[in-house]
Amino acid sequence: MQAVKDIDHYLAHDKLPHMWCPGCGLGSILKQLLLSLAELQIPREKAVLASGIGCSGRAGDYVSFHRFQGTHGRALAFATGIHLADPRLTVICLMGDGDCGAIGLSHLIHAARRNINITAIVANNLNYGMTGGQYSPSTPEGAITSTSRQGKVVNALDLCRLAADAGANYVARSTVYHIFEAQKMLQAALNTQGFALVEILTPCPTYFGRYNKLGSAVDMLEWLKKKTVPLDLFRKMNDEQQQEYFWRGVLAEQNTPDFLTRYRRKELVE
Amino acid sequence: MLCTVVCQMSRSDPKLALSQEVIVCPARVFLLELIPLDAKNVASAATIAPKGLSPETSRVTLARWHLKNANNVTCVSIVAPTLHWRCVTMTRSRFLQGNEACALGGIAAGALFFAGYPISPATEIAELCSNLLPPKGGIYIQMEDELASLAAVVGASLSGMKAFTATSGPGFSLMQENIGFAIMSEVPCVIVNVQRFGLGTGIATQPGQSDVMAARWGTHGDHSIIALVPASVQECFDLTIEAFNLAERFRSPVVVLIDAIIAHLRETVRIPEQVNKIERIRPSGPIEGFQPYAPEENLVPVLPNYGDEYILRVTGLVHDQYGYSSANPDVGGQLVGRLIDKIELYSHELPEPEYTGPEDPDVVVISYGISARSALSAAQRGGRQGLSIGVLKLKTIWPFPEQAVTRTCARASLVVVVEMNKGQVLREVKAAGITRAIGLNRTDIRVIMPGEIISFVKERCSCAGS
Repeated sequence: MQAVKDIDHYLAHDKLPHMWCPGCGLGSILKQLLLSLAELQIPREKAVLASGIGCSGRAGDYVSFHRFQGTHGRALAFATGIHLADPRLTVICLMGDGDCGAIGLSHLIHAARRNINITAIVANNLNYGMTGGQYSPSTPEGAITSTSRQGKVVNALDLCRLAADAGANYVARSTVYHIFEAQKMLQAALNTQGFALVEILTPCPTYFGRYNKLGSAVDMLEWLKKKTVPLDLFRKMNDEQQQEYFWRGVLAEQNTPDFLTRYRRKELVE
Repeated sequence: MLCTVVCQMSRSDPKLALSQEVIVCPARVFLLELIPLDAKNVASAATIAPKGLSPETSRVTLARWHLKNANNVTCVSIVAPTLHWRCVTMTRSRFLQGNEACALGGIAAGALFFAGYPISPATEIAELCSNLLPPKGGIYIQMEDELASLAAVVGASLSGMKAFTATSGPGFSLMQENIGFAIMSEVPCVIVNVQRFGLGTGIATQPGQSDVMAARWGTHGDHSIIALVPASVQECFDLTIEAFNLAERFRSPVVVLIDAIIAHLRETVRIPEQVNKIERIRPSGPIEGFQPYAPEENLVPVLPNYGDEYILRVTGLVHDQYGYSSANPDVGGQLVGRLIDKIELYSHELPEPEYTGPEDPDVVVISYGISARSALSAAQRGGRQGLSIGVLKLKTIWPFPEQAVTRTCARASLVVVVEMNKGQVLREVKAAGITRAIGLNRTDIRVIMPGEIISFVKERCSCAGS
């Protein structure tokens, strides 16, 4: 485990403290990402943090290395260009569940399908936090949000399953409660040659927690612990039980050649 | 094979003679420069010497090699004894379609990245790029939509590759948010919009010139933008190169507005082997505390690429000179002001409109794209019928060349703006102070023909009696 002091040079200290709400998990996620970069000894000038719009989109303001914040939902599409034009870069996309799962969903599917060498992190707080707690595609069925006062009508979208089916080399999910597990996944994702997605469930006590009476930030962490089960356990559940839980674990791990490797190989043939 | 040697060489002092010889032959034009034979020039000659030939090899051999490797040239006459031949520019002619010329122009300008999405009538640009870019070490990628296409282009440009995309009206609409983003974050890139007819889905394969305002105001927020309008296949090539250069010069997206006729027209294009390219400048100075968005004197910042030791922070939010987002009203106001000024205050650097016609015409026709070709033909034909028509053909459409327009129109009794839309440029001409300007407009996929322009002028011009 990397010491916290080793992430100092990745942080824009003069920009701290961050703007995220008390109890939000984004700070923990960013810290684990920086620890993973330190562990892998990725130099500052070779890392690019690309984010979208929303709470997670502000992460770039707190890092001292290359950052990119694009238009809403398009982080993966911008990152595709960033990576292809300079494959020596370690390109990380940090997105929210609304950013990646709604407006930018097609880019997730196609980035996974291309198996483009990018690490995608989805900080899933189960709603749109920045705009005041509206439901997102990953909001569970029945959950209360500012735009679903009677409970959300449609069931949640599993971004991980989608990315795995589309062909991503590495797909995993954890939570801010299980932060050490999450960090291991982030490292595995960064080590993946090809598309990697790590979804991290994170508390939004300001909106999702409040609307759904989940209590304080600490209570929400407890809730994440209770609400998640390891993947093998989840698989043994029936449909009804599965509706009640999120799975945690590694869903896909394979070594298919990434887009650029295949692209350049084809070029040689020609 | 016949060769004409045009010699401008001063033979008085052969050591200093710095001159050019142009050898013209039916298919190709060679521009050969004669330079003094000193150590530096021998070195530069070595870079173009064929493999296996030392730089000391006789100039005649080298010259012959160049000519032998060029089609259709069999002999060459030679030269002052102390001079060394150097092939400076090799121009050749190709019979090309507008879209092809556009793709080749982009590649000649140094583009190595194309991301796009198929759409008529622009697809040939993508097709050609998909063939030509990979062998050059470049990238062609077909994205999932036009939003993603421009996003990938912006990303590639930030990593240091010159990048472009091509689309048509519907795709251009989808790109608008990211065009605004590229303006805000000062990302050089080129967007080719092959205009098709109509709003909505229009008529996919038919021409229009109705995206002029979409190019100017399509994205939200106050901004300035550069847009160029080729009127020939040659200009498709030349202005695409220009677009890349301007994108780098101003650090801004540049739009090339072609219409479907010019895009699918086939004409002879002269393609020089070397073109004038503006390359990106790297930042200098201390790395710590570097401010990527601190503007130079010309209001344009020198940004690093991703991967550089100088750290680049890009955001579409209002940002300070470090690239950190800011909600400060002064920062916001100054940023938007600078983004507009950096283009508007330097618009004299953009391609000027071309005037063709008598010195003091009765009628000035302002036009661009395929309509300008009709206007030029109408002016010529009208001249034979006693009409005095001058044509002002626009090359830059945004920022609108107000000064050139008012200057040219100052004394003309009739000013006609010919365009395949409901008067988008007419509005600008009037705003420039030429309130008497009238429009010859057509929006039904049919090209405005020269005869139509002549009749229009005759009906409205008292001077057109003869």
